[in-house]
Amino acid sequence: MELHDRSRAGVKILALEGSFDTYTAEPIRRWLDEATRSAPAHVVVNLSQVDFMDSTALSTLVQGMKRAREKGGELYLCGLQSPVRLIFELTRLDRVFEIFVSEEDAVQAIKGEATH
Amino acid sequence: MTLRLQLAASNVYTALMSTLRLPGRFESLPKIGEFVVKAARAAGLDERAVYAVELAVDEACSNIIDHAYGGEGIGDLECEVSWQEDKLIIILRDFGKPFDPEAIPDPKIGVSIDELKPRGVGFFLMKKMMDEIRYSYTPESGNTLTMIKQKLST
Repeated sequence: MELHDRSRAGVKILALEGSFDTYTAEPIRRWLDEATRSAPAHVVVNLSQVDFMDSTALSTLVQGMKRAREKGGELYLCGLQSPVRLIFELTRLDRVFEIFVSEEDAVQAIKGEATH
Repeated sequence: MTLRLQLAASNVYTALMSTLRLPGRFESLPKIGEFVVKAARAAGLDERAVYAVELAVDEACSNIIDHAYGGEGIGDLECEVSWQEDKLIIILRDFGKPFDPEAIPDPKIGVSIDELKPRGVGFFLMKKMMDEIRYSYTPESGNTLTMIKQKLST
């Protein structure tokens, strides 16, 4: 698992690459904790290069989203690959998370949220 | 001669089986994942079904380490894969505490973000991902979890 982070217009972006699972979730949890430490916490997680996710990964993202909202922000997802999308559908988390096709769309949407 | 050839072919057919035994640690999970993905592809499953199998095995092994053994490095995980024309069969064995899958309630799905609890999601996903799950326990052979994925399912 590789973590690539960047910032665009006040939005913190985490792009992941590889398997996001019980074995690799810890550094991602730490990154999300840090990114949601101060308000407003606007975070986009790019999953376009993630080929595997399990329930620990889902739980990590749910916790990150809760923390972002506690700090007056949002956590949006983008770029889900077809097999990975399945786990979101089965757990109905595709209705809980805002999911975008591209990182650009997610960043624009979260910036729009920030101006409300 | 014809009969002998048929018998030989039949033996090859039933010999499509492989076993991997690793320490019950989270670092073993990627190796077990790679092992079952290879078997699922060799069995001719499509990519969606390959992911389903990898996920079910990952969740099952995490549960074994967390709940049957109660932590890492307590005991081994054994994974046996075999495949037939229409299905892939995965058998996971461990020597931790027995568990009753029926006693694990399904998680609340489709609730608000504040009510979401991760507990129970792993077993729920296993049931959703596989076509059949069977569990047995004996003091001699420990916990045996058999999971079956049909080739023509999602």
